[in-house]
Amino acid sequence: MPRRRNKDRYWDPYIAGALLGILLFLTFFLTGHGLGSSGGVNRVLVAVEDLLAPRHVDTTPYLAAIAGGERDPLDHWIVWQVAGILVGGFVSGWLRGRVRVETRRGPQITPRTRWAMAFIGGILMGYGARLARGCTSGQGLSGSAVLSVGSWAFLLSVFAGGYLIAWFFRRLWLPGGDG
Amino acid sequence: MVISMKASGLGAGLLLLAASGLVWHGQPGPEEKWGFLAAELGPRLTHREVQIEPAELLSLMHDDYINLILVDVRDERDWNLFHLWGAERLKPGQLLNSAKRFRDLPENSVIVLVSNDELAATEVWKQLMAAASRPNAYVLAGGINRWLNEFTADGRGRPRNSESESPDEKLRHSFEWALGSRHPASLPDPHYVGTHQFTKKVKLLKRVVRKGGCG
Amino acid sequence: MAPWDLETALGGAGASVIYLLIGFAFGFILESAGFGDSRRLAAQFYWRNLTVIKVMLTAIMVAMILIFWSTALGWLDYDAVWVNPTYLWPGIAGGLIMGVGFVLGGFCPGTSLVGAATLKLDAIWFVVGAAVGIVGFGETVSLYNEFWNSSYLGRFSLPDWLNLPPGVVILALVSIGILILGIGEIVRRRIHGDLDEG
Repeated sequence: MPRRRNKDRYWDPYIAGALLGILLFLTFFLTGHGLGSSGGVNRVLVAVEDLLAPRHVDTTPYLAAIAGGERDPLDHWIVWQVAGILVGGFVSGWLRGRVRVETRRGPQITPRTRWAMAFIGGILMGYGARLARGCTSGQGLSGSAVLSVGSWAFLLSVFAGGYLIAWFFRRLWLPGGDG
Repeated sequence: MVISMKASGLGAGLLLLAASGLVWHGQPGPEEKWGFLAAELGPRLTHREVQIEPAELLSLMHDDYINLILVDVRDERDWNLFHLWGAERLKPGQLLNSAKRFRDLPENSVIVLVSNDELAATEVWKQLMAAASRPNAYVLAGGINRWLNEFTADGRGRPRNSESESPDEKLRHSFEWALGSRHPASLPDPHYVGTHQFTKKVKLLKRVVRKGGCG
Repeated sequence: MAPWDLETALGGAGASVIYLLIGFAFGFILESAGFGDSRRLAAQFYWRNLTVIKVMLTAIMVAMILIFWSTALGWLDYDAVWVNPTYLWPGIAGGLIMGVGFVLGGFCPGTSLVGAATLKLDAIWFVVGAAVGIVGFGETVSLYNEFWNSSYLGRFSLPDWLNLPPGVVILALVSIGILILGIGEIVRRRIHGDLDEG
Protein backbone atom coordinates (compact mmCIF):
# COMPACT_ATOMS: atom_id res chain seq x y z
CA MET A 1 0.00 0.00 0.00
CA PRO A 2 1.27 3.52 -0.57
CA ARG A 3 3.20 4.17 2.56
CA ARG A 4 1.84 7.26 4.10
CA ARG A 5 4.56 9.46 5.40
CA ASN A 6 3.78 11.05 8.71
CA LYS A 7 4.06 14.48 7.23
CA ASP A 8 1.55 13.98 4.44
CA ARG A 9 -1.80 14.83 5.87
CA TYR A 10 -4.09 15.29 2.97
CA TRP A 11 -7.61 16.62 3.03
CA ASP A 12 -10.46 14.18 3.10
CA PRO A 13 -11.37 13.44 -0.53
CA TYR A 14 -15.02 14.28 -0.01
CA ILE A 15 -14.18 17.64 1.48
CA ALA A 16 -11.72 18.37 -1.28
CA GLY A 17 -14.33 17.30 -3.79
CA ALA A 18 -16.96 19.53 -2.27
CA LEU A 19 -14.60 22.51 -2.28
CA LEU A 20 -13.63 21.76 -5.85
CA GLY A 21 -17.29 21.59 -6.77
CA ILE A 22 -17.89 24.99 -5.22
CA LEU A 23 -14.90 26.40 -7.09
CA LEU A 24 -16.19 24.91 -10.31
CA PHE A 25 -19.58 26.50 -9.76
CA LEU A 26 -18.01 29.88 -8.99
CA THR A 27 -15.94 29.60 -12.13
CA PHE A 28 -19.01 28.99 -14.25
CA PHE A 29 -20.80 31.81 -12.52
CA LEU A 30 -18.06 34.36 -12.97
CA THR A 31 -16.74 33.37 -16.36
CA GLY A 32 -19.47 31.39 -18.05
CA HIS A 33 -17.20 28.45 -18.61
CA GLY A 34 -15.35 25.85 -16.56
CA LEU A 35 -11.82 24.97 -15.63
CA GLY A 36 -9.06 23.74 -17.88
CA SER A 37 -5.39 22.98 -17.94
CA SER A 38 -4.05 21.19 -20.97
CA GLY A 39 -5.01 24.08 -23.21
CA GLY A 40 -2.67 26.35 -21.31
CA VAL A 41 0.30 24.06 -21.84
CA ASN A 42 -0.79 23.77 -25.45
CA ARG A 43 -0.78 27.51 -25.95
CA VAL A 44 2.57 28.10 -24.35
CA LEU A 45 4.01 25.47 -26.66
CA VAL A 46 2.38 26.98 -29.71
CA ALA A 47 3.72 30.36 -28.67
CA VAL A 48 7.24 28.94 -28.62
CA GLU A 49 6.63 27.22 -31.92
CA ASP A 50 5.41 30.51 -33.34
CA LEU A 51 8.70 32.11 -32.40
CA LEU A 52 10.80 29.37 -33.92
CA ALA A 53 8.77 28.41 -36.97
CA PRO A 54 6.13 31.03 -37.73
CA ARG A 55 5.56 29.95 -41.32
CA HIS A 56 4.78 26.46 -40.16
CA VAL A 57 2.33 27.73 -37.61
CA ASP A 58 0.62 29.91 -40.15
CA THR A 59 0.17 27.08 -42.61
CA THR A 60 -0.98 24.31 -40.33
CA PRO A 61 -4.72 24.81 -39.81
CA TYR A 62 -4.81 23.42 -36.32
CA LEU A 63 -2.00 25.70 -35.17
CA ALA A 64 -3.06 28.69 -37.19
CA ALA A 65 -6.37 28.75 -35.37
CA ILE A 66 -4.46 29.46 -32.18
CA ALA A 67 -1.49 31.50 -33.31
CA GLY A 68 -1.69 32.18 -37.01
CA GLY A 69 -0.84 35.63 -38.29
CA GLU A 70 -1.35 38.28 -35.66
CA ARG A 71 -3.01 36.09 -33.11
CA ASP A 72 -1.36 35.90 -29.74
CA PRO A 73 -1.73 32.39 -28.34
CA LEU A 74 -1.02 33.63 -24.83
CA ASP A 75 -3.92 36.04 -24.90
CA HIS A 76 -6.38 33.55 -23.51
CA TRP A 77 -7.81 32.97 -20.08
CA ILE A 78 -6.44 29.47 -19.76
CA VAL A 79 -2.85 30.68 -19.76
CA TRP A 80 -3.57 32.73 -16.67
CA GLN A 81 -5.37 29.86 -15.07
CA VAL A 82 -2.47 27.47 -15.64
CA ALA A 83 -0.12 30.01 -14.11
CA GLY A 84 -2.44 30.10 -11.12
CA ILE A 85 -2.49 26.32 -10.85
CA LEU A 86 1.29 26.22 -10.68
CA VAL A 87 1.42 28.87 -7.99
CA GLY A 88 -1.46 27.40 -6.02
CA GLY A 89 -0.03 23.91 -6.15
CA PHE A 90 3.33 25.19 -5.03
CA VAL A 91 1.99 27.26 -2.16
CA SER A 92 -0.13 24.40 -0.88
CA GLY A 93 2.81 22.03 -1.03
CA TRP A 94 5.17 24.53 0.49
CA LEU A 95 2.88 25.29 3.41
CA ARG A 96 2.71 21.61 4.26
CA GLY A 97 6.33 20.78 3.61
CA ARG A 98 5.58 18.70 0.58
CA VAL A 99 7.84 20.52 -1.83
CA ARG A 100 10.58 17.97 -2.26
CA VAL A 101 12.66 16.93 -5.19
CA GLU A 102 11.67 13.30 -5.44
CA THR A 103 10.21 10.67 -7.68
CA ARG A 104 7.03 9.01 -6.65
CA ARG A 105 6.93 5.44 -7.91
CA GLY A 106 5.98 1.89 -7.10
CA PRO A 107 8.61 0.02 -5.07
CA GLN A 108 9.39 -2.48 -7.80
CA ILE A 109 10.82 -0.04 -10.32
CA THR A 110 13.66 2.41 -10.41
CA PRO A 111 13.30 6.17 -10.67
CA ARG A 112 14.66 5.99 -14.17
CA THR A 113 11.96 3.59 -15.25
CA ARG A 114 9.44 5.83 -13.64
CA TRP A 115 10.70 8.84 -15.55
CA ALA A 116 10.50 6.97 -18.82
CA MET A 117 6.97 5.83 -18.03
CA ALA A 118 5.95 9.31 -16.94
CA PHE A 119 7.28 10.66 -20.20
CA ILE A 120 5.44 8.08 -22.28
CA GLY A 121 2.30 8.48 -20.22
CA GLY A 122 2.61 12.21 -20.73
CA ILE A 123 2.80 11.80 -24.47
CA LEU A 124 -0.35 9.72 -24.45
CA MET A 125 -2.08 12.17 -22.18
CA GLY A 126 -1.11 15.17 -24.23
CA TYR A 127 -2.13 13.52 -27.43
CA GLY A 128 -5.38 12.15 -26.04
CA ALA A 129 -6.30 15.46 -24.49
CA ARG A 130 -6.10 17.25 -27.82
CA LEU A 131 -7.91 14.44 -29.55
CA ALA A 132 -10.74 14.63 -27.04
CA ARG A 133 -10.66 18.42 -27.08
CA GLY A 134 -10.11 18.68 -23.39
CA CYS A 135 -8.56 16.99 -20.42
CA THR A 136 -9.93 15.60 -17.22
CA SER A 137 -10.34 19.03 -15.71
CA GLY A 138 -11.76 20.73 -18.76
CA GLN A 139 -13.91 18.06 -20.31
CA GLY A 140 -14.14 15.58 -17.52
CA LEU A 141 -14.92 17.84 -14.62
CA SER A 142 -16.38 20.96 -16.14
CA GLY A 143 -18.20 19.46 -19.08
CA SER A 144 -19.79 16.83 -16.87
CA ALA A 145 -20.97 19.44 -14.39
CA VAL A 146 -22.98 21.07 -17.16
CA LEU A 147 -24.26 17.73 -18.40
CA SER A 148 -22.48 17.61 -21.74
CA VAL A 149 -22.99 14.21 -23.31
CA GLY A 150 -19.55 14.22 -24.89
CA SER A 151 -17.94 15.01 -21.57
CA TRP A 152 -19.64 12.17 -19.77
CA ALA A 153 -18.67 9.79 -22.56
CA PHE A 154 -15.13 11.08 -22.28
CA LEU A 155 -15.01 10.68 -18.52
CA LEU A 156 -16.28 7.12 -18.67
CA SER A 157 -13.75 6.32 -21.38
CA VAL A 158 -10.88 7.61 -19.27
CA PHE A 159 -11.80 5.40 -16.36
CA ALA A 160 -12.53 2.47 -18.64
CA GLY A 161 -9.17 2.83 -20.36
CA GLY A 162 -7.37 3.10 -17.06
CA TYR A 163 -9.02 0.16 -15.38
CA LEU A 164 -8.68 -2.08 -18.42
CA ILE A 165 -4.97 -1.44 -18.78
CA ALA A 166 -4.06 -1.27 -15.09
CA TRP A 167 -3.47 -4.95 -14.49
CA PHE A 168 -0.91 -5.12 -17.30
CA PHE A 169 1.20 -2.41 -15.76
CA ARG A 170 0.80 -3.28 -12.13
CA ARG A 171 4.54 -3.63 -11.71
CA LEU A 172 4.85 0.10 -12.06
CA TRP A 173 2.90 0.79 -8.94
CA LEU A 174 2.34 -2.21 -6.74
CA PRO A 175 4.68 -3.83 -4.27
CA GLY A 176 6.09 -7.23 -5.17
CA GLY A 177 4.26 -10.44 -4.52
CA ASP A 178 1.01 -8.88 -5.55
CA GLY A 179 -1.13 -10.69 -8.13
CA MET B 1 -7.76 13.79 7.78
CA VAL B 2 -10.75 11.71 6.95
CA ILE B 3 -14.32 12.49 7.83
CA SER B 4 -16.46 9.92 9.51
CA MET B 5 -18.88 7.64 7.73
CA LYS B 6 -21.67 9.50 9.43
CA ALA B 7 -20.55 12.79 8.04
CA SER B 8 -20.17 11.32 4.58
CA GLY B 9 -23.63 9.87 4.84
CA LEU B 10 -24.98 13.25 5.87
CA GLY B 11 -23.32 14.87 2.91
CA ALA B 12 -24.75 12.28 0.57
CA GLY B 13 -28.18 12.83 2.03
CA LEU B 14 -27.88 16.58 1.52
CA LEU B 15 -26.92 16.11 -2.10
CA LEU B 16 -29.87 13.82 -2.72
CA LEU B 17 -32.17 16.30 -1.03
CA ALA B 18 -30.87 19.17 -3.12
CA ALA B 19 -31.19 17.13 -6.30
CA SER B 20 -34.74 16.11 -5.45
CA GLY B 21 -35.52 19.74 -4.80
CA LEU B 22 -34.40 20.50 -8.32
CA VAL B 23 -36.83 17.99 -9.74
CA TRP B 24 -39.61 19.58 -7.77
CA HIS B 25 -38.70 23.17 -8.57
CA GLY B 26 -37.83 22.74 -12.21
CA GLN B 27 -35.93 25.06 -14.45
CA PRO B 28 -37.30 28.48 -15.47
CA GLY B 29 -39.31 28.80 -18.68
CA PRO B 30 -39.01 31.86 -20.92
CA GLU B 31 -41.60 33.93 -19.03
CA GLU B 32 -40.03 33.25 -15.69
CA LYS B 33 -36.65 34.03 -17.17
CA TRP B 34 -37.85 37.38 -18.39
CA GLY B 35 -39.09 38.00 -14.88
CA PHE B 36 -35.53 37.58 -13.65
CA LEU B 37 -34.13 39.70 -16.43
CA ALA B 38 -36.69 42.47 -16.22
CA ALA B 39 -34.86 44.39 -13.53
CA GLU B 40 -31.66 44.33 -15.54
CA LEU B 41 -33.09 44.89 -19.00
CA GLY B 42 -36.35 46.73 -18.37
CA PRO B 43 -34.60 50.10 -18.03
CA ARG B 44 -33.12 49.60 -21.46
CA LEU B 45 -36.61 49.63 -22.84
CA THR B 46 -37.85 52.58 -20.84
CA HIS B 47 -34.78 54.62 -21.69
CA ARG B 48 -35.32 53.86 -25.36
CA GLU B 49 -31.89 52.31 -25.73
CA VAL B 50 -32.93 49.47 -27.94
CA GLN B 51 -35.45 51.17 -30.17
CA ILE B 52 -33.71 52.26 -33.36
CA GLU B 53 -34.93 54.72 -35.92
CA PRO B 54 -35.66 53.79 -39.52
CA ALA B 55 -32.59 55.68 -40.71
CA GLU B 56 -30.35 53.60 -38.48
CA LEU B 57 -31.94 50.40 -39.69
CA LEU B 58 -31.35 51.52 -43.24
CA SER B 59 -27.70 52.10 -42.48
CA LEU B 60 -27.49 48.58 -41.11
CA MET B 61 -29.14 47.18 -44.18
CA HIS B 62 -26.45 48.74 -46.33
CA ASP B 63 -23.59 47.83 -44.05
CA ASP B 64 -21.68 44.87 -45.45
CA TYR B 65 -19.84 44.23 -42.26
CA ILE B 66 -22.87 43.68 -40.09
CA ASN B 67 -24.70 40.40 -40.12
CA LEU B 68 -28.21 41.82 -39.97
CA ILE B 69 -31.05 39.55 -38.96
CA LEU B 70 -34.33 41.26 -39.68
CA VAL B 71 -37.17 39.52 -37.93
CA ASP B 72 -40.73 40.44 -38.85
CA VAL B 73 -43.32 39.34 -36.30
CA ARG B 74 -46.47 40.45 -38.07
CA ASP B 75 -49.19 38.29 -39.51
CA GLU B 76 -49.06 36.79 -42.94
CA ARG B 77 -51.40 39.26 -44.56
CA ASP B 78 -49.34 42.29 -43.67
CA TRP B 79 -46.20 40.41 -44.58
CA ASN B 80 -47.49 39.72 -48.04
CA LEU B 81 -48.52 43.31 -48.56
CA PHE B 82 -45.17 44.72 -47.62
CA HIS B 83 -42.07 43.63 -45.83
CA LEU B 84 -38.48 44.76 -45.64
CA TRP B 85 -35.93 43.34 -48.00
CA GLY B 86 -33.98 40.50 -46.41
CA ALA B 87 -36.42 40.08 -43.55
CA GLU B 88 -37.55 36.74 -42.26
CA ARG B 89 -40.92 36.09 -40.81
CA LEU B 90 -41.24 34.72 -37.31
CA LYS B 91 -44.56 33.04 -36.73
CA PRO B 92 -46.02 33.30 -33.27
CA GLY B 93 -44.88 30.40 -31.12
CA GLN B 94 -41.84 29.75 -33.29
CA LEU B 95 -39.51 31.74 -31.12
CA LEU B 96 -38.49 28.87 -28.88
CA ASN B 97 -37.56 26.73 -31.87
CA SER B 98 -35.31 29.45 -33.24
CA ALA B 99 -33.88 30.46 -29.88
CA LYS B 100 -30.77 28.34 -30.23
CA ARG B 101 -29.96 29.89 -33.57
CA PHE B 102 -30.33 33.39 -32.22
CA ARG B 103 -28.19 32.58 -29.27
CA ASP B 104 -25.26 31.29 -31.25
CA LEU B 105 -24.90 34.00 -33.88
CA PRO B 106 -21.46 35.34 -34.82
CA GLU B 107 -20.13 38.43 -33.13
CA ASN B 108 -20.94 40.88 -35.87
CA SER B 109 -24.64 40.05 -35.73
CA VAL B 110 -27.46 42.47 -35.05
CA ILE B 111 -31.06 41.36 -34.72
CA VAL B 112 -33.81 43.89 -35.43
CA LEU B 113 -37.40 43.05 -34.59
CA VAL B 114 -40.11 44.63 -36.65
CA SER B 115 -43.88 44.93 -36.25
CA ASN B 116 -46.42 47.46 -37.48
CA ASP B 117 -46.05 49.78 -34.54
CA GLU B 118 -43.32 48.76 -32.13
CA LEU B 119 -45.45 47.14 -29.47
CA ALA B 120 -45.56 43.58 -30.72
CA ALA B 121 -41.88 43.72 -31.58
CA THR B 122 -41.10 44.87 -28.04
CA GLU B 123 -42.93 41.94 -26.56
CA VAL B 124 -41.01 39.58 -28.78
CA TRP B 125 -37.80 41.38 -27.80
CA LYS B 126 -38.43 40.50 -24.18
CA GLN B 127 -39.04 36.86 -25.00
CA LEU B 128 -36.00 36.77 -27.23
CA MET B 129 -33.78 38.18 -24.52
CA ALA B 130 -34.89 35.44 -22.19
CA ALA B 131 -35.00 32.56 -24.63
CA ALA B 132 -31.74 33.24 -26.44
CA SER B 133 -29.69 34.53 -23.49
CA ARG B 134 -29.48 38.24 -24.26
CA PRO B 135 -28.57 38.39 -27.94
CA ASN B 136 -27.73 41.67 -29.61
CA ALA B 137 -31.32 42.57 -30.49
CA TYR B 138 -33.14 45.84 -31.19
CA VAL B 139 -36.61 47.00 -32.10
CA LEU B 140 -37.56 49.18 -35.04
CA ALA B 141 -39.02 52.28 -33.41
CA GLY B 142 -42.44 53.07 -34.76
CA GLY B 143 -42.43 49.87 -36.75
CA ILE B 144 -43.44 49.48 -40.34
CA ASN B 145 -45.88 52.35 -40.11
CA ARG B 146 -43.13 54.84 -39.36
CA TRP B 147 -40.85 53.23 -41.89
CA LEU B 148 -43.39 53.75 -44.61
CA ASN B 149 -43.95 57.32 -43.45
CA GLU B 150 -40.30 58.05 -43.98
CA PHE B 151 -39.71 56.25 -47.19
CA THR B 152 -42.92 56.69 -49.14
CA ALA B 153 -44.90 59.74 -50.11
CA ASP B 154 -48.55 60.20 -50.85
CA GLY B 155 -49.70 60.91 -54.37
CA ARG B 156 -48.72 64.57 -54.09
CA GLY B 157 -45.20 63.95 -52.90
CA ARG B 158 -45.91 64.82 -49.32
CA PRO B 159 -44.71 62.47 -46.63
CA ARG B 160 -47.49 60.51 -45.11
CA ASN B 161 -48.21 60.70 -41.49
CA SER B 162 -49.85 57.65 -40.16
CA GLU B 163 -48.64 57.75 -36.63
CA SER B 164 -51.55 57.20 -34.41
CA GLU B 165 -52.11 58.42 -30.90
CA SER B 166 -52.96 54.90 -29.89
CA PRO B 167 -50.80 52.47 -31.77
CA ASP B 168 -52.76 49.34 -32.33
CA GLU B 169 -50.46 47.26 -34.45
CA LYS B 170 -52.52 47.74 -37.57
CA LEU B 171 -50.86 48.50 -40.85
CA ARG B 172 -52.04 52.01 -41.58
CA HIS B 173 -50.82 52.23 -45.12
CA SER B 174 -52.75 50.81 -48.00
CA PHE B 175 -51.37 48.99 -50.96
CA GLU B 176 -52.86 48.37 -54.31
CA TRP B 177 -50.94 45.19 -54.80
CA ALA B 178 -49.24 42.82 -52.39
CA LEU B 179 -45.63 43.43 -53.33
CA GLY B 180 -43.98 41.88 -50.33
CA SER B 181 -40.34 42.90 -50.55
CA ARG B 182 -40.53 44.07 -54.15
CA HIS B 183 -41.87 47.42 -53.02
CA PRO B 184 -39.39 50.25 -53.47
CA ALA B 185 -39.56 51.07 -49.78
CA SER B 186 -38.38 47.56 -48.93
CA LEU B 187 -34.82 48.68 -49.56
CA PRO B 188 -34.59 52.45 -49.84
CA ASP B 189 -31.62 54.20 -51.31
CA PRO B 190 -28.55 54.40 -49.06
CA HIS B 191 -28.10 58.08 -49.75
CA TYR B 192 -30.94 58.72 -47.41
CA VAL B 193 -28.72 57.75 -44.52
CA GLY B 194 -26.26 60.53 -45.15
CA THR B 195 -28.93 63.19 -45.13
CA HIS B 196 -30.82 62.21 -42.03
CA GLN B 197 -29.65 62.44 -38.50
CA PHE B 198 -30.30 59.70 -36.08
CA THR B 199 -29.07 58.72 -32.65
CA LYS B 200 -26.88 55.70 -33.17
CA LYS B 201 -27.87 53.02 -30.75
CA VAL B 202 -26.64 49.78 -32.21
CA LYS B 203 -23.46 48.40 -30.74
CA LEU B 204 -21.70 45.19 -31.55
CA LEU B 205 -21.62 42.95 -28.54
CA LYS B 206 -18.72 40.80 -27.60
CA ARG B 207 -20.05 37.35 -27.13
CA VAL B 208 -20.38 36.75 -23.44
CA VAL B 209 -18.73 33.38 -23.38
CA ARG B 210 -16.05 33.20 -26.00
CA LYS B 211 -14.70 29.80 -25.52
CA GLY B 212 -14.40 27.41 -22.67
CA GLY B 213 -13.06 23.93 -22.54
CA CYS B 214 -9.35 23.41 -22.54
CA GLY B 215 -8.48 26.27 -24.85
CA MET C 1 -28.10 37.33 -14.37
CA ALA C 2 -24.76 35.63 -14.71
CA PRO C 3 -22.74 34.99 -16.76
CA TRP C 4 -21.52 38.43 -17.72
CA ASP C 5 -18.60 39.27 -19.92
CA LEU C 6 -15.73 39.40 -17.48
CA GLU C 7 -13.48 41.50 -19.70
CA THR C 8 -16.12 44.17 -20.11
CA ALA C 9 -16.97 44.19 -16.44
CA LEU C 10 -13.44 44.22 -15.05
CA GLY C 11 -11.16 45.04 -17.93
CA GLY C 12 -8.53 42.74 -19.36
CA ALA C 13 -6.25 43.00 -16.37
CA GLY C 14 -9.04 42.45 -13.88
CA ALA C 15 -10.23 39.40 -15.73
CA SER C 16 -6.74 37.95 -15.79
CA VAL C 17 -6.52 38.38 -12.04
CA ILE C 18 -9.73 36.44 -11.60
CA TYR C 19 -8.37 33.63 -13.72
CA LEU C 20 -5.17 33.60 -11.75
CA LEU C 21 -7.13 33.33 -8.54
CA ILE C 22 -9.31 30.57 -9.90
CA GLY C 23 -6.23 28.67 -11.03
CA PHE C 24 -4.61 29.27 -7.66
CA ALA C 25 -7.57 27.82 -5.82
CA PHE C 26 -7.69 24.89 -8.22
CA GLY C 27 -4.01 24.08 -7.76
CA PHE C 28 -4.24 24.55 -4.02
CA ILE C 29 -7.18 22.20 -3.65
CA LEU C 30 -5.62 19.57 -5.90
CA GLU C 31 -2.38 19.58 -3.99
CA SER C 32 -4.18 19.54 -0.65
CA ALA C 33 -6.02 16.45 -1.75
CA GLY C 34 -2.77 14.77 -2.62
CA PHE C 35 -3.01 14.95 -6.37
CA GLY C 36 0.60 15.99 -6.75
CA ASP C 37 1.59 12.44 -5.82
CA SER C 38 1.47 10.10 -8.78
CA ARG C 39 1.52 7.00 -6.65
CA ARG C 40 -1.59 8.15 -4.87
CA LEU C 41 -3.28 8.91 -8.17
CA ALA C 42 -2.41 5.62 -9.80
CA ALA C 43 -3.56 3.70 -6.74
CA GLN C 44 -7.07 4.55 -7.91
CA PHE C 45 -6.81 1.93 -10.59
CA TYR C 46 -5.83 -0.77 -8.14
CA TRP C 47 -8.62 -0.14 -5.67
CA ARG C 48 -6.16 0.96 -3.04
CA ASN C 49 -6.95 4.61 -2.85
CA LEU C 50 -10.09 6.04 -4.32
CA THR C 51 -9.26 9.70 -3.85
CA VAL C 52 -9.48 10.39 -7.55
CA ILE C 53 -13.00 9.19 -8.09
CA LYS C 54 -14.19 10.54 -4.76
CA VAL C 55 -12.92 14.02 -5.51
CA MET C 56 -14.12 14.03 -9.09
CA LEU C 57 -17.59 12.65 -8.51
CA THR C 58 -18.19 14.80 -5.45
CA ALA C 59 -16.99 17.88 -7.30
CA ILE C 60 -19.23 17.16 -10.27
CA MET C 61 -22.27 16.48 -8.10
CA VAL C 62 -21.81 19.59 -5.99
CA ALA C 63 -21.15 21.79 -9.00
CA MET C 64 -24.14 20.42 -10.91
CA ILE C 65 -26.48 21.09 -8.04
CA LEU C 66 -25.16 24.59 -7.49
CA ILE C 67 -25.30 25.45 -11.18
CA PHE C 68 -28.81 24.26 -11.73
CA TRP C 69 -30.19 25.63 -8.50
CA SER C 70 -28.80 29.05 -9.31
CA THR C 71 -30.40 28.80 -12.73
CA ALA C 72 -33.67 27.81 -11.12
CA LEU C 73 -33.47 30.90 -8.92
CA GLY C 74 -32.60 33.18 -11.79
CA TRP C 75 -29.04 33.99 -10.73
CA LEU C 76 -27.37 32.16 -13.59
CA ASP C 77 -28.37 31.44 -17.16
CA TYR C 78 -27.52 27.84 -17.97
CA ASP C 79 -28.37 28.44 -21.63
CA ALA C 80 -25.57 30.97 -21.85
CA VAL C 81 -22.97 28.83 -20.17
CA TRP C 82 -20.29 27.03 -22.16
CA VAL C 83 -21.22 23.42 -22.60
CA ASN C 84 -18.42 21.50 -24.29
CA PRO C 85 -19.55 20.62 -27.78
CA THR C 86 -19.90 16.90 -28.21
CA TYR C 87 -17.66 15.19 -30.71
CA LEU C 88 -18.61 11.73 -29.61
CA TRP C 89 -16.04 9.33 -31.06
CA PRO C 90 -12.95 11.53 -30.89
CA GLY C 91 -13.88 12.14 -27.29
CA ILE C 92 -14.15 8.45 -26.53
CA ALA C 93 -10.96 7.63 -28.39
CA GLY C 94 -9.09 10.41 -26.65
CA GLY C 95 -10.52 9.33 -23.32
CA LEU C 96 -9.35 5.76 -23.71
CA ILE C 97 -5.88 6.92 -24.66
CA MET C 98 -5.85 9.19 -21.65
CA GLY C 99 -6.90 6.34 -19.43
CA VAL C 100 -3.86 4.38 -20.55
CA GLY C 101 -1.70 7.44 -20.17
CA PHE C 102 -3.03 7.90 -16.66
CA VAL C 103 -1.90 4.46 -15.57
CA LEU C 104 1.46 4.71 -17.31
CA GLY C 105 2.18 8.26 -16.41
CA GLY C 106 0.48 8.50 -13.07
CA PHE C 107 -0.96 11.93 -13.75
CA CYS C 108 -3.48 13.81 -15.77
CA PRO C 109 -2.56 17.22 -17.20
CA GLY C 110 -3.95 19.30 -14.35
CA THR C 111 -2.41 17.20 -11.60
CA SER C 112 0.92 17.01 -13.40
CA LEU C 113 1.15 20.77 -13.11
CA VAL C 114 0.60 20.48 -9.39
CA GLY C 115 3.17 17.72 -9.14
CA ALA C 116 5.66 19.74 -11.13
CA ALA C 117 5.03 22.74 -8.93
CA THR C 118 6.06 20.67 -5.92
CA LEU C 119 9.18 19.46 -7.70
CA LYS C 120 8.21 15.89 -8.30
CA LEU C 121 10.61 14.74 -10.99
CA ASP C 122 8.20 12.27 -12.50
CA ALA C 123 5.66 15.05 -12.83
CA ILE C 124 8.18 17.18 -14.69
CA TRP C 125 8.93 14.34 -17.07
CA PHE C 126 5.22 13.92 -17.52
CA VAL C 127 4.74 17.56 -18.44
CA VAL C 128 7.55 17.31 -20.95
CA GLY C 129 5.93 14.20 -22.39
CA ALA C 130 2.60 15.96 -22.54
CA ALA C 131 4.23 18.78 -24.46
CA VAL C 132 5.56 16.27 -26.96
CA GLY C 133 2.16 14.63 -27.20
CA ILE C 134 0.44 17.95 -27.80
CA VAL C 135 2.90 18.98 -30.49
CA GLY C 136 2.67 15.52 -31.99
CA PHE C 137 -1.05 15.87 -32.19
CA GLY C 138 -0.78 19.21 -33.92
CA GLU C 139 1.46 17.68 -36.52
CA THR C 140 -0.49 14.49 -37.15
CA VAL C 141 -4.11 15.51 -36.88
CA SER C 142 -4.23 16.49 -40.52
CA LEU C 143 -3.86 12.81 -41.34
CA TYR C 144 -7.19 11.99 -39.85
CA ASN C 145 -8.94 15.30 -39.83
CA GLU C 146 -12.19 13.70 -40.85
CA PHE C 147 -12.31 11.55 -37.79
CA TRP C 148 -11.29 14.37 -35.53
CA ASN C 149 -14.24 16.41 -36.74
CA SER C 150 -16.69 13.54 -36.86
CA SER C 151 -19.75 12.74 -34.75
CA TYR C 152 -20.34 16.40 -33.98
CA LEU C 153 -23.51 16.86 -32.00
CA GLY C 154 -23.00 20.44 -30.93
CA ARG C 155 -24.12 21.70 -27.57
CA PHE C 156 -25.68 18.43 -26.57
CA SER C 157 -26.67 17.91 -22.98
CA LEU C 158 -27.93 14.84 -21.21
CA PRO C 159 -31.41 16.35 -20.84
CA ASP C 160 -31.43 17.00 -24.58
CA TRP C 161 -30.40 13.46 -25.30
CA LEU C 162 -32.67 11.67 -22.88
CA ASN C 163 -35.52 14.13 -23.29
CA LEU C 164 -35.81 14.48 -19.53
CA PRO C 165 -35.87 17.60 -17.39
CA PRO C 166 -32.46 18.56 -15.99
CA GLY C 167 -33.62 17.99 -12.43
CA VAL C 168 -34.43 14.36 -13.13
CA VAL C 169 -31.11 13.79 -14.86
CA ILE C 170 -29.26 15.34 -11.95
CA LEU C 171 -31.14 13.30 -9.39
CA ALA C 172 -30.28 10.16 -11.33
CA LEU C 173 -26.62 11.13 -11.63
CA VAL C 174 -26.34 12.02 -7.97
CA SER C 175 -27.96 8.76 -6.97
CA ILE C 176 -25.66 6.76 -9.23
CA GLY C 177 -22.68 8.76 -8.04
CA ILE C 178 -23.41 8.11 -4.39
CA LEU C 179 -23.99 4.47 -5.18
CA ILE C 180 -20.64 4.21 -6.94
CA LEU C 181 -18.83 5.91 -4.10
CA GLY C 182 -20.56 3.72 -1.55
CA ILE C 183 -19.74 0.53 -3.43
CA GLY C 184 -16.20 1.76 -3.90
CA GLU C 185 -15.79 2.19 -0.18
CA ILE C 186 -17.07 -1.30 0.49
CA VAL C 187 -14.91 -2.92 -2.19
CA ARG C 188 -11.83 -1.09 -1.02
CA ARG C 189 -12.35 -2.14 2.54
CA ARG C 190 -12.96 -5.73 1.46
CA ILE C 191 -9.74 -5.88 -0.51
CA HIS C 192 -7.49 -3.89 1.75
CA GLY C 193 -9.08 -3.86 5.12
CA ASP C 194 -10.27 -0.84 6.96
CA LEU C 195 -7.45 1.45 5.89
CA ASP C 196 -7.33 5.12 6.49
CA GLU C 197 -6.94 6.72 3.09
CA GLY C 198 -5.64 10.00 4.40
